Amino acid sequence: MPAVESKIESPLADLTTTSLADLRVCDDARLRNAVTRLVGRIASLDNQFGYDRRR
Amino acid sequence: MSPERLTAPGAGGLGASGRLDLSAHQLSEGDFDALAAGADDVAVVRRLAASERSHRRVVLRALLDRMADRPDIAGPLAPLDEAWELLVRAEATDLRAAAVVDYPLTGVWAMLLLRRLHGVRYDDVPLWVEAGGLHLLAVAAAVRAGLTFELTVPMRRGTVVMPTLGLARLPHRDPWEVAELSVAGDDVRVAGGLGEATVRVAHLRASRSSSRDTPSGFWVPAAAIGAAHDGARIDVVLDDVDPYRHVVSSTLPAPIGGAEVGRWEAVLDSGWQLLVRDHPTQAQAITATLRVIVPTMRAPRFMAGSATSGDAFGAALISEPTDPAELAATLVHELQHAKLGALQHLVDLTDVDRADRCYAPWRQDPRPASGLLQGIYAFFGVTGFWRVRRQVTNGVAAALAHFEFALWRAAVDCALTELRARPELTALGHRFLQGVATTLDGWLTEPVPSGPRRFARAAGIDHHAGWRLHHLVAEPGAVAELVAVWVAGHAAPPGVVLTRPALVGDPAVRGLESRALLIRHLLGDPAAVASWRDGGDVGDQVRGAVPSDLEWLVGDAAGAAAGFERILEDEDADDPHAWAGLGLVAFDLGDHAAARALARVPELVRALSRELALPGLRPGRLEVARWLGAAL
Repeated sequence: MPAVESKIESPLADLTTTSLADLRVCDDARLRNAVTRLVGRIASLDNQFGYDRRR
Repeated sequence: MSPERLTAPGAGGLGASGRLDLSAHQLSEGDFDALAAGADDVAVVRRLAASERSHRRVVLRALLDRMADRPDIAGPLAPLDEAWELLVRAEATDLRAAAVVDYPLTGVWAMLLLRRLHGVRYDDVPLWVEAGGLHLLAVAAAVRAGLTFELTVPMRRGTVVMPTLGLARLPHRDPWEVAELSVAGDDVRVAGGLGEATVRVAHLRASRSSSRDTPSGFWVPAAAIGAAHDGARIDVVLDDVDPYRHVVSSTLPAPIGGAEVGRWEAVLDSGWQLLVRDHPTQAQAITATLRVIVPTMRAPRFMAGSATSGDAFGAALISEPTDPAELAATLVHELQHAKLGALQHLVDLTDVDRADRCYAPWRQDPRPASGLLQGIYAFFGVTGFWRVRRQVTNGVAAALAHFEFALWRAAVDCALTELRARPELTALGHRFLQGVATTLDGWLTEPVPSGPRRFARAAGIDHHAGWRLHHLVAEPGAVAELVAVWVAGHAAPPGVVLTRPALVGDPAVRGLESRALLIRHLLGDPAAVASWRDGGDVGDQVRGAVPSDLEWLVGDAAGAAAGFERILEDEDADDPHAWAGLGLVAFDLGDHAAARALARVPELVRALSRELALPGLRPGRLEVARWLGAAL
């Protein structure tokens, strides 16, 4: 029997099949937490989800 | 992490309570470790790309929530609800229409606006114009879905950019105006400013190509280019119109001409051929990520510029390449940023950055930990790229490849050491860097021919010394103590020599790479460099370079030392370029103690020399360096 592969659970909610109509009104805790995480990162000075340039 | 889904959005359904029972993305440890090791497994990259769909929707939801707190945000435009409903209707009509939401540069718009609404960004553009990006998304989606509709949209200096479609231009009166956009039957009508125009829907969906001349008239379609080699194909949009294409701030459309599109097409074709032939796994991964190139001005040779935003997965700003290998290296570099950006949307590799900054061997400015991580991963990929190139090329191309390989493997190694000591790194961040280090360790022992290896070592030391001379200030108490010890005729105490300097940051820093650029020119075209020695100012060829650099480059260490001393004596006693150059020639002259001090604590050598320039004392600069170096 093959070994079960270990998984790392992401704080990112899986919205790959969520319609835009549902997205706006969804009240799921995972989505709320993902939004909180995003806002916490972008509001920092360096915008850690941001940008990197070469020369 | 979920595999790519083909299920229709909304298939799960939303209950009356607003609950979707969402699952979380999961990432297998195998995928994580493969990414860290730089394996470029295309299946892993595709899963990363699929997860970006979720991230984009989180961004959109965060933006919608924030905009809901500002009922007046749309200003003279139609209410946000109206735009949103049109977008929803477009998706419900044709799933492909929602591609505008997933378009890479849509993410930049959304995140810049979100940051503005959170008070961490300012822009001259009125807020309603930026908020109207939602209206533009909606009309672009609606056009793609074939809907009949009308909606007001913002017009920036007479331009209306519909993401994924192109640019409408009208005569305008004011910088920021409202345009009415409507579709009925096969016609799209845009009216605003001082004019109106109508264009066929089919025309809006067409792409611009190199066969067209410089864009003119009312409608400028998106430019698309592609290349195919050995069964592998890449297609990208050359986005020269999106207001958010420059990533950090908004700008106006600047459509490039047919000739320029043609040059891009040609270099993409040859660069793609090189990638598919010599770097097939990277080529595959690039096809899974890259969808948009934002073209920027051609840069001088060896000075290619490029940028990637984590907000715009699938897009890269790239200066017009001078040759196929340059484009290929850039695409590999930006692929690394794209992968890491997507990975960081899934898991936290670093905590929020602390205020203090670190040295990055590829940057002139001090960097936060998160920025250093991006650089490490990008140049890790670049090192791997040159590792292959040095095996598949010969002559000057191989010499350059050896140099780049040796330079970047050492740079990544140095940055890894720095970042692994930082408190921001999470447990997963440590695991990720361990994966990078394991692969890199194998590369660090690979032999490199002595010439390129010597130059790579010197370029690395030079950059680091220059960075310290620009950004660090020796601790005044330590300098005073060392003056007293010198005057007393004792040896320099190591504990004092290693006193931590202060990072002050020099916003005017420049030229840290000028000697490395000269090395590349020498390896790539020795005759040209010889001609620079014979006539003209080398600074005209490489900004920041001085004639003494050429003397050092060709092995005249004594001549170069005299030249750097002359600059420090006659022009500027603090000149960082001359001080760092003095360290390089000290090494070549066999003065290893002086070279060591000028490499490791050049800001202290400079500060101490300044303090010892007293009547009757005034030791030579290399003498001071030698004294300090004996303690290191």
